[in-house]
Amino acid sequence: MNNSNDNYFSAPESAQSAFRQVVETAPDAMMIVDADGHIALVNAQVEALFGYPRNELLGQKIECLLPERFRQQHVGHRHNFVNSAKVRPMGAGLDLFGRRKDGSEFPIEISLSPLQTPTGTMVSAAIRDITDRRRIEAELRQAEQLFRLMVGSIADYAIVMLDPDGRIASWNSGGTRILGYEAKQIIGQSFVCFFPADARAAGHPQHELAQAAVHGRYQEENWRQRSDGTLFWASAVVTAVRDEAGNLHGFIKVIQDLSDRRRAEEEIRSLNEDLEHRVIERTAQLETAYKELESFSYSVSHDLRMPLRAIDGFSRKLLEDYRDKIDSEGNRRLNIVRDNAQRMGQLINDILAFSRMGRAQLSFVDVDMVELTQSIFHELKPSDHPVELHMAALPQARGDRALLRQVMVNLLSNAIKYSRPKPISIIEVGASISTDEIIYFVKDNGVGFDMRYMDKLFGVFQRLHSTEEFEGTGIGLAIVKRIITKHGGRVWAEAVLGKETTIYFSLPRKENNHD
Amino acid sequence: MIDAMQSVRILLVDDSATDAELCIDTLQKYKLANQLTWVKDGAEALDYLFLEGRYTDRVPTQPQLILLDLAMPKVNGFDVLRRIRSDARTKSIPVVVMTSSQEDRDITESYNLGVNSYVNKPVVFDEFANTVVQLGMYWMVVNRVPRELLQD
Repeated sequence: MNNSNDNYFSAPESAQSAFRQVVETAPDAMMIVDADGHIALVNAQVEALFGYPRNELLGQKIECLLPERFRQQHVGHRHNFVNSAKVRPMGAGLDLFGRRKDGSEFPIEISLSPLQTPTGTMVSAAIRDITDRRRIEAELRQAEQLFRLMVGSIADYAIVMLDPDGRIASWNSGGTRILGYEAKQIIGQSFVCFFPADARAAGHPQHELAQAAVHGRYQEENWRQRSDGTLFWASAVVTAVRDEAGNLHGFIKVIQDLSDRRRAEEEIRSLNEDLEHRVIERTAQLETAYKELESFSYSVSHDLRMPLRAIDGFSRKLLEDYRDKIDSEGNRRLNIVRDNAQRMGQLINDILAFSRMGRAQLSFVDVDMVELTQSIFHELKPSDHPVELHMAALPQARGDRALLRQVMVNLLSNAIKYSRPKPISIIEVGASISTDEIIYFVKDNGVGFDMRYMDKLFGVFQRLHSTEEFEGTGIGLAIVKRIITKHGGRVWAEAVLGKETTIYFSLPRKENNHD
Repeated sequence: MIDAMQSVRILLVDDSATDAELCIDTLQKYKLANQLTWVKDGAEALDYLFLEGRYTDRVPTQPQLILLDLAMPKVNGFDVLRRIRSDARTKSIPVVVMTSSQEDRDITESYNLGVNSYVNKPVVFDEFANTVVQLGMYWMVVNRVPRELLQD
């Protein structure tokens, strides 16, 4: 048995007294109980713990410190211990409780030691209040339960605990859904079964764990294998789990099924490829069409004029050389031939000019619109009809000078032409500025047009007046529209029939434009 | 002055008989076409200039002005111009392109090949006639050519 205990009772008085003090000041509650369960000795901690003054405890049965429901059976336990006494924690594996004087209970942990004394076997007990520990344990249990519940219920991710060798220690519903294994099949198995055969053969699973162990984390997108052998595209993250001392406890592996995303990506890729293919095809078709159009307009330019020149030229020669043989009606009719040949020539010129405009490369410069308008007006101003030009201060335009000149020539000549029936033509040129564009307008007090035909106004060879009323082929505003569109601007018109027409065009503002 | 005008030898290269006739008529009216030769395409123009084919035995004096159409079958105006400028016998002869085309690329290409002048043939006959007369007057009266071209 324990020699020191024997010594205690046989030691000199001074040593016994010193030892009492040790017991008295010990951090744990300590007491000595005789073989019949009478309390023989308690220290200050016992008083504090159970709320009894010492004198109320000494000589009492130990059961007074137990909840009533345990008292009867405790007597039996006590007898058994004394009969086969050895040092042991009391009630190992059981929840033990103490009872305070006020009747309240608290969880305790007790260590028992038998003492052989001259008066027989006694028992020393060290008692510890484990209320706090129990509370922390309960909290931990709750937290762990909550955590398990959370992980277990996550279906979008397989979240798997691995031991350091890669054996599966925990499983969740996401694992079942994504990988196809039930928890009872898979727990304890190696995680290599998640990998396709070729990755297994290449040692990839081991590589994954080694990387995670070294770097703390390993992540990849790759193929993984389901329980039925099918493959899926997965995002896998492996995180090493270490304690505070740095010892490897295992790994947490999270697997996400990216099949849907990959399918969507592949669809997008194939759509893109398809689109690219179609763009190339269409571009080639367009290029062919464009080349055809170009060679068409080239041959128009070369070949279509010549017969017209012959028609006009030989009609003219008939009129000159056979003057005596052609009467006035013949004269009139030959002149109709000539007029139409010339008109056809004009149409060809216009359509070629229009098509050239589409191919023109713009060279952007600042254009003084006031100077431009004035110079054009002086060129176009008729000598046989009064025309007034009213011009506000126009903002500078940013654009191709030659093409903007063409725009103003067409608009001013239209304004002059269509206001000719009025006693005095009044042409107004102005502009307004908004944040992103400058809007110019040319307004005349001419014959106007019916706004219902607005959509025809800017079409090629579309005319709202007969050739007898006003000459022209109907290309002017189509060219204006094409030029302005090429500049990134818009064209529109307002009119009152018989009273006035206003043609507007806008040019986008650039930062270096003047306000 | 009249003598100088009448002595100018012109080679007209044009595949269009009507254009050629209108041109010749107009020049004749102003007595500018006394020594005009008309060839009806580029191949014939080259034969004429280099005394080949049916022109092997022609009098070997070169024209003092060539009026050249561009769009012609077989050998076009550019090919003719290229040959003229690359041969010592013809390189100094003034060449005027007369064409319906107003295409920029035709104008650019003509000057790149060393043309002396580029004029459009207007559709309207009066304008056409006016152009031809001005052209004839300038090249036959106002313009001076190298001495070797003046020999008969």
